[in-house]
Amino acid sequence: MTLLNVKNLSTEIRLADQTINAVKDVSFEIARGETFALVGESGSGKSITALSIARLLPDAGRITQGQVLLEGKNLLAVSEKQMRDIRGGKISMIFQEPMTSLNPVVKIGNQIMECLLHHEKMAKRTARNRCMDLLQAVGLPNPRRNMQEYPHQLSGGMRQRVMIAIALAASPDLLIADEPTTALDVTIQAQVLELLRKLQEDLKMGLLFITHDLGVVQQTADRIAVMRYGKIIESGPSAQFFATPQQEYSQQLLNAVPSLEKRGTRLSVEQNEGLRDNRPDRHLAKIEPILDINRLCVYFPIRRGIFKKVVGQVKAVNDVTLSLYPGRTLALVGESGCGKTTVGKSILRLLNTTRGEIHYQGENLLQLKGEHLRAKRRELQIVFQDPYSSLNPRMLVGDIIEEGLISLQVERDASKRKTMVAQLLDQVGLPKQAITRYPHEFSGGQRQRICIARALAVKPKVIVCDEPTSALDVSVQAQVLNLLMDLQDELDMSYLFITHNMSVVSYMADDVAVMYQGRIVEHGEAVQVLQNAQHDYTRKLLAAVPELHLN
Amino acid sequence: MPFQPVILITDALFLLLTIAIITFVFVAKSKAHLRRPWTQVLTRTTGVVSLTVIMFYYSIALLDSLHFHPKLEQSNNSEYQYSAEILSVLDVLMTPMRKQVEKTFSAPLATQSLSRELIQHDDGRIDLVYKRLKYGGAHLTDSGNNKWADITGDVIKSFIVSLIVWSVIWVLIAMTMRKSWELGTRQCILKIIQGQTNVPLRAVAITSGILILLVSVVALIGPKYHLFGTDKVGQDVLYQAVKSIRTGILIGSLTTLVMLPLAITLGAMAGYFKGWVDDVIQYIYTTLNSIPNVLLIAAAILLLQVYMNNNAENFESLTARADLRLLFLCLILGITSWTGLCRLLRAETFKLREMEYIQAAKTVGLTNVSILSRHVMPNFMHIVIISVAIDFSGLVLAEAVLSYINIGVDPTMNSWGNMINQARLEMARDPAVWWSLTAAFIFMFTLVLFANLFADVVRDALDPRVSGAE
Repeated sequence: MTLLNVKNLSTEIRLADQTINAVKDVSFEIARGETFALVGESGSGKSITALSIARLLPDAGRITQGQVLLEGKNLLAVSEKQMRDIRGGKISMIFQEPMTSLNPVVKIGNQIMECLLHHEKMAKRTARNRCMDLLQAVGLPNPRRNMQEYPHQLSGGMRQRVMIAIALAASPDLLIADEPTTALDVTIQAQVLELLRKLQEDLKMGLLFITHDLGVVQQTADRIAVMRYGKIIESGPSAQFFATPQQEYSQQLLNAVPSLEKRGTRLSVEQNEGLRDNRPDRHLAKIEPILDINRLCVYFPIRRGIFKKVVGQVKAVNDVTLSLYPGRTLALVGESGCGKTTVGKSILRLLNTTRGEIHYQGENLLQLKGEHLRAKRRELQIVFQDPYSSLNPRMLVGDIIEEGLISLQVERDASKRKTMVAQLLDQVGLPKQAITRYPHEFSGGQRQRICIARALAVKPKVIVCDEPTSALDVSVQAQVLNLLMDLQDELDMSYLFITHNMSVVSYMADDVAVMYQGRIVEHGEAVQVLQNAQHDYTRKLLAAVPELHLN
Repeated sequence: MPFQPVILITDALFLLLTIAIITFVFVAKSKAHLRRPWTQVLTRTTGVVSLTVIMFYYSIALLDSLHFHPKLEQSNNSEYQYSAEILSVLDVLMTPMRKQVEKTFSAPLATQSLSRELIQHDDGRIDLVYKRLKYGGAHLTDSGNNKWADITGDVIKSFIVSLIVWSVIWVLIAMTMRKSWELGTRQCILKIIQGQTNVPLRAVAITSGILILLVSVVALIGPKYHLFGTDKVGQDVLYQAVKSIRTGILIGSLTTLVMLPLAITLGAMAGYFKGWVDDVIQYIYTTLNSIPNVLLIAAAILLLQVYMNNNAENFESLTARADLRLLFLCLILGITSWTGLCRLLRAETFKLREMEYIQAAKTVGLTNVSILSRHVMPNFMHIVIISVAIDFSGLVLAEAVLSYINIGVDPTMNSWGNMINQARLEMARDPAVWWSLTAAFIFMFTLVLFANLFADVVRDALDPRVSGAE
């Protein structure tokens, strides 16, 4: 039986200088107890579709045509007062960011009860009991205590569970989950997905699942619709979609996902780029490590009291030993907060280390000072995760790239520098005109190319890539990964690739080090580690990854 | 030369500031990230209207900052002798109003004195009469009953004059636009009238029309009557109020000139280096903040007063003394008011230093100085500009308050605060002398109102949280 029926929905966003047709003539149905996944890359209009259904559009948004029928009742025609009862009562939503979706100054229990008291008109006592049941249902360890806690006392995964509890409080018929696991680690993602599946089965809800992660979709969805440029370009049962995608774009999306099977090949970016030239065979001997990290420790002191006395230490990196070999890629894998970025920043001397040694070509980087350190900076560079905050918005792209050339005195002649900048842009696949543009004129993927060009400018031997693709869409991720591998072949650099994305690891890493709570738990050749994991944690990590299975 | 130029310290600083603003305009024109928000300011009606009014005030202040010693009249042509008096270009333009000093109070547009005076007739009779003013309406018939007809005639005349001047100016502007709009003169004028221009030129035209009308009214009626009456010593109140513009603008702008370097360097350093640098800077501004500002200002002004009395020979004229006191007031106001902005900038730098582009700059080996100047400072400039725009009006008001309690500018200097201070007791007279206060209020109110409106528009355009531009 149809629960939600969206007919010819169109939504536009009116900005000061233009009108964007965010959703164009979208129609779909969701039955009771069914999971319907809306898949698409950022900007495809999937979130705006969800917000249109719940009538929660931002001020600039207007629904221009169509119907949203919930059990036959047109939600676009009811009054705002009735809509308030429907929201939370019949339709609930879960958002992407569990860190900001909860009110930080209200206790967890009160935030859940607010919904119960309002929608279910329960007495306080029954509401409290129901609240406890809900927290139990979403799998919080100690509901009685958790009810008295504030959001900051819970971890990201627990907060997302609380969000789900709130969404379920009034037993809704339809649950809209907008990228509910994107901000979570894989192991927690697996738990949350499992929880959602179980709850849906028990409560016979309809679930509108919005995501860009095809692995997640394959695991959860009954039916799928692919969105692009505000339109649904393909929809159908999940199994059928993964077996025989109809549209070129869907095919492309599936091909862009990196995986172990695709090792040594280029990821397809566009259909017409049919040639998959294989990478040259890379059985590079592990002779002498270029970078040797020996028993590295980074502790952050915890200070309390008026005199800021040190009362304890956070052991962000604890006794880490790693080796990076010339021309190879070492992936440092782990969940958020395990200290992998701290290792990367320690190598570049961006923060102070507590103990240990980092040898680069036989020289201990941690003991370098002043001019010596500045000179060594030429050899080691970094590419950051967020392409939006890693470029100064007030500087021209040309100046950004040129900066390292000037400060490290790579090239003193101004006109030669200009040609070098142009060459670098060409190398990372950007047009020469980019020199006189500002960063905001570029998309995320292009910005990441600029960051790579900036790092390449000083001709480094080692690049630390700190989650360089995790803020990007799959197809753009594929382009950036291709670029990184081409550059490695061309310039014979070593990468320390910091990531939490196992599919990227299995696609491009030569060696893998798995990090857990500040320590390295497993270190070895990539294929070996992935296929024959020794440590429990590695196995758990690998099991949690929603692998994409293609025929 | 028929005059000898004098550059007072504040004049020099004010001219420097003007040059700095003009340079900034040219730099901003060539940089896209600077041009974008300012174009947004210029497309808002409130923005251009307030900018026009502020520019009007600013140009009066500028005219009043070009000082010189005039030639003495009796000196022969071959060898000039200059008077000790220091005049400004504005003084020359307003000569009639400056020179036509009555005996004492007179009401706006009055022809007779405010209170009765004793007159001894030829035959020995003594009478209490309202005496005719020496200058106000002196050209009228003896009875003075054709005053309103005369004023109405002047107003009509000034309407006609200003209409002509205004239309000539705007036709010229329309003609200069011909090239960039690729239209004929006629269509250009039509485009402005219909308000289809990108920058709301129609609003600018209306504002400038009103300003030109006001100027021509003052130019035609001012020399014949006292538009805002006269004060206790018979000086023209309008002249005082206009002269006060320079004081107000200088206090508003020079103070920020003192304050900005302190706030920017210390704020950026505290936020960027953290640790003991931050501790020291925080310590300085918390200490400074905990001393009442008025106390500090009073102490500083007193110090200067004592110094000037002991070294009287170093100050050639009263004007120079008053000028030094004004400069000192700006200095001390700047020193007491940098802490707020410094705190904001420190917090912003805390945020910025963790940005990845700053870390990337470190990895390509930039020195701390270039990171601060190239990466940190340009990225908090919007905060600086917003707070300067907001502080400006606050400082103009602060001057009025300080002068009111006698620790502001020199009592001989024209300022709105001094006018209000002097008018305080006169309000209690019967009939009340309200015009000093009213004139000071109108002039100050207009400046502060439009400065605030402008600050609002600037904030909307520059604050990324409001404009969503970033």
